[in-house]
Amino acid sequence: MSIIDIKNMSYVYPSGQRALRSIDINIGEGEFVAVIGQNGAGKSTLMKTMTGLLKPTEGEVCIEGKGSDEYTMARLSTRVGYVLQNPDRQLFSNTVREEIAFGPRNLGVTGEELEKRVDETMKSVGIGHLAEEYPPSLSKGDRARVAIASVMAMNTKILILDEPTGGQDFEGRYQIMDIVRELNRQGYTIIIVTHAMSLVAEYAGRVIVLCEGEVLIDSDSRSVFSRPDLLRQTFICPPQVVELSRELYRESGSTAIELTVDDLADAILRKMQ
Amino acid sequence: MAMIVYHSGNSLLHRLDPRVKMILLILYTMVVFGVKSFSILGILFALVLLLWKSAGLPLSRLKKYLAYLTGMIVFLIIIQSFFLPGNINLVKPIFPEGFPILPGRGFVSLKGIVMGVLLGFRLFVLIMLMPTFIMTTTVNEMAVGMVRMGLPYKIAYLATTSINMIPSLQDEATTIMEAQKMRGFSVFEEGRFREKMKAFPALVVPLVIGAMRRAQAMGVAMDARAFGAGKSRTYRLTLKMTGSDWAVFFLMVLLAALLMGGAFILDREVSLWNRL
Repeated sequence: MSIIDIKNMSYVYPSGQRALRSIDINIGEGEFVAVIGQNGAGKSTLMKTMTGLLKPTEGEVCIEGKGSDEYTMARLSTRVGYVLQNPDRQLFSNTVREEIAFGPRNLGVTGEELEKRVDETMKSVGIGHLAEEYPPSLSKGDRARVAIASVMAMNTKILILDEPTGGQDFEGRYQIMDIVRELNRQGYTIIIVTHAMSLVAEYAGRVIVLCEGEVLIDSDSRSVFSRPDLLRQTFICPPQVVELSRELYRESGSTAIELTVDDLADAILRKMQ
Repeated sequence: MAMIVYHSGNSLLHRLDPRVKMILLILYTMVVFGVKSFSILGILFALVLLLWKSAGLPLSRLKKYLAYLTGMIVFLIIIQSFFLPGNINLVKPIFPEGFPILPGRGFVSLKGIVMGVLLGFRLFVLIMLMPTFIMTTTVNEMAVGMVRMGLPYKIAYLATTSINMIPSLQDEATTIMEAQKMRGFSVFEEGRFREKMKAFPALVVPLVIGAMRRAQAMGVAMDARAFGAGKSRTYRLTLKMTGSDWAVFFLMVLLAALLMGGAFILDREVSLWNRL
């Protein structure tokens, strides 16, 4: 069943700048989608139309079968969770606990139920020990986690993350992506915007490539990274391991690729045995 | 989106020396504050409106300003009519004569209402006055203008940088409010005044922390490029007062003097409603 259905949607900013052009995207429940493309390709605008922050100029965006303009913002915020690129723009409470309780409290959740929800959310992203800390004083990785938790606490089915790994070190990136993958396994529909192609190859099941406001490719990650010619149009390079595997397979006349280092290593080992 | 940004153009106001504009802005601000007569304020209003038109500034902004000010103006009228004693009261005093702090106050005086309207009008003219300088002068011109008038360069830089920061702070405020909307927070759109006041930290805390982080980073970046290392510096932009700059300056000073004089003569008008 499709949970987000975008039909022939265009978006033009009030300044007259056309950001999106006749977009058709259908996202099913439980998918893990990565949206990639150059800066200015329209990724953030697309995310904002999915969250209802922007209303499409033409066409429509349906969330769970209803047009985004039929929801009030408060209603929509219980369906779609949106984690901003910069966590510092959404943290303002005195403690991590209060920060996470802010969203559900707005929805009228109180008392024990609220406590329970906050505790569970903190546990699932691994920040239970930071409950009484002051959010701005946390490390960048922890701030990102608090931001994710604060949105998760809304109990939405859809989670949209705008560059969740931006500015994180190598370890931090994988920690965050592991949390996201775990959420996906629990049933969340995940949509992430990112520039880290290796993470896309490793985690996302489906990739949507945006180029100048239009969908260039929309397919599973293997097919997308098999089209380096097309990706070059929007200045995207597949991860190095994908390129390496392509070269290796080419020797044997195959067009196959491997998406991760582990996959390639396995393939080589199999070949050697 | 941005309320105060440079609005490019080539009008007389745009070409005028920034120093002249700055001094005139200060002078006219004082005039607006000093005037108690509706007629003179009306003339000032017409004058500023004329400046807006001649500089090609978007008049649609005025509606926005008025919308922002409405609450403030209503507040002024209420406060004044409650506490400014006059001869005609529409409502009997709420507080009795022996009441501490506010003996015999809490009426709705006609004089207070008139005073409130005057203060509101004055405020609006003041708010209108600012853009005639800020929206017609580039930040560079302001900085050089301030330095040439004897302000230390660091102060001039500080002032102009803050003006430059306004649009980006506005953008950031929008982003923060969007993030909060996504967490079911709708007070800024539909909440009542008290709720909005209570919700204020949710907006201000991230904004201030963000601004502080940015200012710190900016300080480091400036130090890294040796800001303030030279004892005296030169400017690419040089300012020279032309004949027309002087002419405009003297004309406007004369006009200000006339208006002040007029306000003095029209004192009778003021005393008229003072009797209310």
